[in-house]
Amino acid sequence: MIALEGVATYLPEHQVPIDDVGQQLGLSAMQVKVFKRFHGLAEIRRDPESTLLDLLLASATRLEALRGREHQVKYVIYARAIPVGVPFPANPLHELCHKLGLDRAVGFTVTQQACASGLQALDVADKLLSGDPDPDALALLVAGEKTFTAESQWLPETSIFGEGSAACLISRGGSRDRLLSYAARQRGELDGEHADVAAEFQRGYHNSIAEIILAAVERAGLVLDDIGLILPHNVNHVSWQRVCRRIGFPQAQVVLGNVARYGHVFCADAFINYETARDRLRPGDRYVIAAAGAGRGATYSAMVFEH
Amino acid sequence: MTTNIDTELRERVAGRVCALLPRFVRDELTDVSEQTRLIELGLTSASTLELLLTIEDELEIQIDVEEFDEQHVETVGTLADYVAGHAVRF
Repeated sequence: MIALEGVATYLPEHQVPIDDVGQQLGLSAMQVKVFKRFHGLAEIRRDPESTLLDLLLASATRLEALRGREHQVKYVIYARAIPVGVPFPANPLHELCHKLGLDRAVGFTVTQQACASGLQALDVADKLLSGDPDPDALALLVAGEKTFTAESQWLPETSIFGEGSAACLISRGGSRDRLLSYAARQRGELDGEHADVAAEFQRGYHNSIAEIILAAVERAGLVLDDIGLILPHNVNHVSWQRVCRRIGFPQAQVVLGNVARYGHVFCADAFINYETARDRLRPGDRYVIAAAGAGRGATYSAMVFEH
Repeated sequence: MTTNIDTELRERVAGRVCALLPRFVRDELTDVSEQTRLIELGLTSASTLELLLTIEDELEIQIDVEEFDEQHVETVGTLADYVAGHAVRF
């Protein structure tokens, strides 16, 4: 099983209030009020002047654990929630590998599980490193997207996306932030246009996330009382309030403060929340990373780590 | 921010929900009553929250939504029960 050797994140300085985002999207005053009052959104970050490459490099160049170990990186995995981020033939991921000196690495994107693709990327890294003949091989996960289309700016009735990025260096069998278990469930019957499947997705959402968190905890040989924190995907407050009620987990132990600060930063949420929670974690503490992906089917995923 | 159920408020809430529902659902409605099942009307999560905000504005109350969940939107009556039991008047 993998271990997280290091995590770095980047959030642009430019703050955009949710009221301004709502105006740009043509949302009604009532829609904006729901986002602020119930979903806990207040502002997001954007950097209109930066490219996707700039955004990803901003966190990857802050990743201290990577320095001096570039030659060990065999896999660079970009976790994207939205499949297309740049027009052909631009390929910022390969440029990123080159600029970071990761010339021995294979770089590719995983995107099939929407906002749960971050956990999918961690699982793929686990499988690749486990099968690699070099025990010192490393994988680099990067996440973060530009909010430059309507689809990448908001998920109707659910969340508003913000810009930011994360980079995570992954090893096989390390001693810190070790992966204990992974559970994921996909509902292919929710493969359709958002407007057609949204109601069905919403109806099953809280129970599905609750079930997958419990499944991951059980798979790790633990019980929920063993879990110190949940690092959620920052979709909104109200959904996590309901999930907590279903599983009997204290809401104060779900790291939700970044919903108001940054909105939903695609697959980078877990790592942004990890950085926020780092001071609350002591060696040996167990925590859960959980996320759901909506669009072209639904995926509910959870991982248990030991700090 | 919670109160015991205020029956007068509850009646007013139920009345406003019945009157407001056509604004929030796609299908044409007839015979809306406290027994009307909201899930079967296709009331989405966001529409439900917008309905709550509209009731807040109209009745000049603030609703504590900390405990608000799916079972409270089974019927007009259950929604009125929740609002009246979790409302503070201005």
